[in-house]
Amino acid sequence: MKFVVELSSKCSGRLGLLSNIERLPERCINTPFLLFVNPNLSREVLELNFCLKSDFGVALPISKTEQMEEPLQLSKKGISEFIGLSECLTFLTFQNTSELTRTGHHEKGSIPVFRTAGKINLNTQRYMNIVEVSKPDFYLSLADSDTWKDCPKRRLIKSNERSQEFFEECISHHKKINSKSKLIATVEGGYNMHERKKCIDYLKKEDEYISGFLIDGFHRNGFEATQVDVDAMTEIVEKTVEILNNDKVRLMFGAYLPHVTLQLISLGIDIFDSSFIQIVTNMNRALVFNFDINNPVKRFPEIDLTDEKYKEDFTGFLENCDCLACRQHTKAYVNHLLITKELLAPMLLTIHNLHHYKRFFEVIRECIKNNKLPELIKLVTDQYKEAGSLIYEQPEITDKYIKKHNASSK
Amino acid sequence: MTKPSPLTYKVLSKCSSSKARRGLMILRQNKPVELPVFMPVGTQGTLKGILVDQLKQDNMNCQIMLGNTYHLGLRPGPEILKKVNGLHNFMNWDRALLTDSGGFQMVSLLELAEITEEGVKFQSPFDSTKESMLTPEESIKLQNVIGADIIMQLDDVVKTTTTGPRVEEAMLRTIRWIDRCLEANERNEDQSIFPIVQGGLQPELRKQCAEALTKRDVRGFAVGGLSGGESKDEFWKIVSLSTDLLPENKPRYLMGVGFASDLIVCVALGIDMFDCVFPTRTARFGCALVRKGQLNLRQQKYECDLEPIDKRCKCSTCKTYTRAYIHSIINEPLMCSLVSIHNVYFQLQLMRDIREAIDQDKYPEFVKTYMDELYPENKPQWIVDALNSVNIKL
Ligand SMILES: [Zn+2]
Ligand SMILES: [Zn+2]
Repeated sequence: MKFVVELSSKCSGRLGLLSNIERLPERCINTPFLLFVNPNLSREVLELNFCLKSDFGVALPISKTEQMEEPLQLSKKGISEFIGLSECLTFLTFQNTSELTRTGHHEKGSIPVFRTAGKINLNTQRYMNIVEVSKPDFYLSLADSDTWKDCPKRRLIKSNERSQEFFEECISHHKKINSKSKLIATVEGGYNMHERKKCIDYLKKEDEYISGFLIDGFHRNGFEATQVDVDAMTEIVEKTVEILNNDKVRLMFGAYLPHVTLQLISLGIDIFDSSFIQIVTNMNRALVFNFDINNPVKRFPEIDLTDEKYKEDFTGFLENCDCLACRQHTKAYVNHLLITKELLAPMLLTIHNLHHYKRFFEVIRECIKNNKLPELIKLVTDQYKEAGSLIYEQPEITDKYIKKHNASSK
Repeated sequence: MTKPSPLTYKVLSKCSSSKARRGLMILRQNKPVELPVFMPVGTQGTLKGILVDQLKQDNMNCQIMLGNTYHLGLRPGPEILKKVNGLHNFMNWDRALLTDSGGFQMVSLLELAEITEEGVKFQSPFDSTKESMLTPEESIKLQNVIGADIIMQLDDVVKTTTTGPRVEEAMLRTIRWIDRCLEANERNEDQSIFPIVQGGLQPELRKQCAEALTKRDVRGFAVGGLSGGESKDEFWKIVSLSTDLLPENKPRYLMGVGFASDLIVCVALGIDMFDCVFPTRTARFGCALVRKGQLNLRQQKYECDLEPIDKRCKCSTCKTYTRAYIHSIINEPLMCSLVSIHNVYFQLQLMRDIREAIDQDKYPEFVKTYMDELYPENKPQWIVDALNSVNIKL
């Protein structure tokens, strides 16, 4: 695997190129790049909408894939073929970023993984077995990422200690099996620079085996990522990026709002996942924020398709959007599908939202190239700031809330 | 210039032994439907988790779909459907559609529905203090708004196993109601009403009904009131009797029948059109249709099964995924889409195979091969008898 930074400027993001991927030698992936997390559309549906051969990548959370271990062991062909997306970049992760992860439940030597079928404790041995049979192009080193903005110092330290153990076990397995899957090291440490440095210190001891870094531990996934304290987070990200090697790819996962994602990109983050799209889709919304800096009209950034006012609106989600959902269907139809709880509703919303967000990433890359990122940041930030709390209320995160919220995504 | 007929039907070829026939139905705006056909049911204006484009792919090539008037009348409701100019536009489906009358759904879904000479009296499912009436005229008015190419008369539905004078009453009322329906149809130049042959399991009543209905000026016929718990022996005899009574030059639709063996037998008995919710409903539970019956992909034994659902199947699911993969996502919505696609394809492909066999005048051979695979040991007696009655010896 090769990662080259093609263009980089302080505070205006960087353009990179991922190539020489062992399994996909022809593939060139331009960063900033978006991974489709937990792909819930069939290959046929994806092919009707996207070019899988050019720049499509998927993030596969272990909570949705661990049950595939045995058939993968048997097939020997790896997870990309098993899920029907052999030409797509695959990325195995240990957390499902589109759902809130319950805090606590830690046991020694393992992390809790919450599946539809209940909780399991995942240790490094099992995790690395899954990596071995899944043969993803990239995988994350196992870590304890159960930290958040105001989490107790004790938890932060514990998380870092446990993560170090997991990392060292992952690395030793990685060397032993001579894995072709590239390792992305998980950087923990919450909102504490001292802990971040401590973490990066132990990671860097294995520098030659590390292909990139995931800066993790700012939230507990799901909706919480839309609520992060952006200033506090970006301050830590900026300082963390400074001490990471420039020539390695940097990732951040979670449902950050679009203008927050832009800020992270300006700080030099290269790869994101699509958990934000899952969150938006679960709320029955279509993304319509404008990212055309040549025509910088401001729009209310997201529309709720269950709204009565769309009952008789026979236009697509977004004018001039050329996704399949907008070309073929109307807000009124999707409103009806949502009210009648038809499976096609989340499919059409996912198609549009993913299309919109992938286009957004294309525009981001163009803007970095043309030195126009600040304009894009202003346009998107204005739209989200103006919508303000109308669109993402601050919920009190309780067990009940988590249950309700995660249930709605099923 | 008068508008061309919204439904023309032609027999293209006939089986030289049985009553099976290969036909072509052309619906308004030149929409072809090759017969015999299976029509998947898209109750609320969508087929469970399947895109319109997927149904129109070359391999799938679904030519006609069914919508339920009762459900569509409630949601999105006639006002919205009127504004958008019908269900075709609403769901962006430019191929053929058929709607039922809403009566059957009402009687089977609403406990308190009551049939009188005027129509079906029922309580609103959303507001139990409201009482409404679905008359034959109302049903057609609603179906005129939905705008399907083929629409059904409101009929008086009784449980198939009902006996006594109620069966005759229902049959006679169905005849009276077809006239009210035909009279009420404001879009006769776009939409063809099919009358429904009723009469329970009594040959005399069926005969009387068919004789009366065939005197009406209609473009096709349905056989109703079957597939409701009667014995298979009674079932096939009524089907066969009905097709004998219906004219050769019009399509015949057997309502609510869709199991593979039923399709094959009833085609031999002269039926052209079928519908059934079963293939899509069963997909939700992870049941995939195969020639030998069905696979319940939830079962543990599929955990490591790296074969597709059916090696011979050319649907997009079988082209890409294994049984093990589907088993591994059995609780995800995607599973439902994948199995639905396969099951709908299975039904449509079965009909393609049937049509091809009739075209080549090899239907008896086709039936034998199929039944041997489906029932390697003992073939159900009713199937043997039914096929025997049309000169196909198993
Ligand atoms: Zn769109
Ligand atoms: Zn198939």
